[in-house]
Amino acid sequence: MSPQLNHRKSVDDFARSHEPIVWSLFGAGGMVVAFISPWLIVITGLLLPLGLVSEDVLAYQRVLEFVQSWWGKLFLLVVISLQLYHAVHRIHHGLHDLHIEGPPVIMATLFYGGATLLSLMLAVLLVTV
Amino acid sequence: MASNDNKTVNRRPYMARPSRWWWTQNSFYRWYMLREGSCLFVFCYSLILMTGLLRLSQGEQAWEHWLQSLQHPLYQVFHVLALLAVLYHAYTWFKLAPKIMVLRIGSWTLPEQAMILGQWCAFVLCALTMLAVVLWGGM
Repeated sequence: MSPQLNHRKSVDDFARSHEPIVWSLFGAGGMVVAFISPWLIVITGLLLPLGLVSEDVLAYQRVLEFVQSWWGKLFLLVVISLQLYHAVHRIHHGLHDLHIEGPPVIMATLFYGGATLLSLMLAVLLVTV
Repeated sequence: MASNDNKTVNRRPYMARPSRWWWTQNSFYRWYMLREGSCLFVFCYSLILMTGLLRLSQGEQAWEHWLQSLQHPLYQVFHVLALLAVLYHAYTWFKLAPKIMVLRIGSWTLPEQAMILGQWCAFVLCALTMLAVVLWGGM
């Protein structure tokens, strides 16, 4: 076997190995933002304040029951954390587009780590509520 | 030894770095930046939702107070802009999907337009499902 073919342990490969995970989260987040976020924004941010529905729709007891159900917890965890991963991926690349750069490892840790930290906080919140 | 002949200069030429405002130069890049910028609304909206959940966990009064704060005109402007941002994201996302994933059955390829239309149908279905659950869902 030629030595040139044996390059699997190069630094470059390790650096690249995170990309599929990050991209899957970004892609799944893109689906959520396209299909679900518009209606979530309408429901929580526009229907009630614009007086289009009765206040009972987001009444405390009703929302609490939803958040305390396992499907409610699952829905909120998946939707909000994928929104976060999607957003930080674009912010990360957008800053690069604007020539705002830092050491790559620190920038990646800051953004993807930040989204992970927020998702963990959200999970704790959902479990305890 | 390298010759001094101009034609055989053996190094990468100096390339001036484009300005950080390169994307303002034409409309394609401006729309690109707008699409990328939509994520700022998504990020802020996620934090708003998380704040709501925190308030919910703190009891009825905190929840009512949070709902009240959403009535503020600034919040309403934010939500309208956020809605426009995610709708533009959806438009670009649906257009991109058939280029990333080409669906073939035998020698027949699903036309791009059909796939885009299919996604818009799913989009409407999501809307109807979510609104039905929120408005009439027995919880």
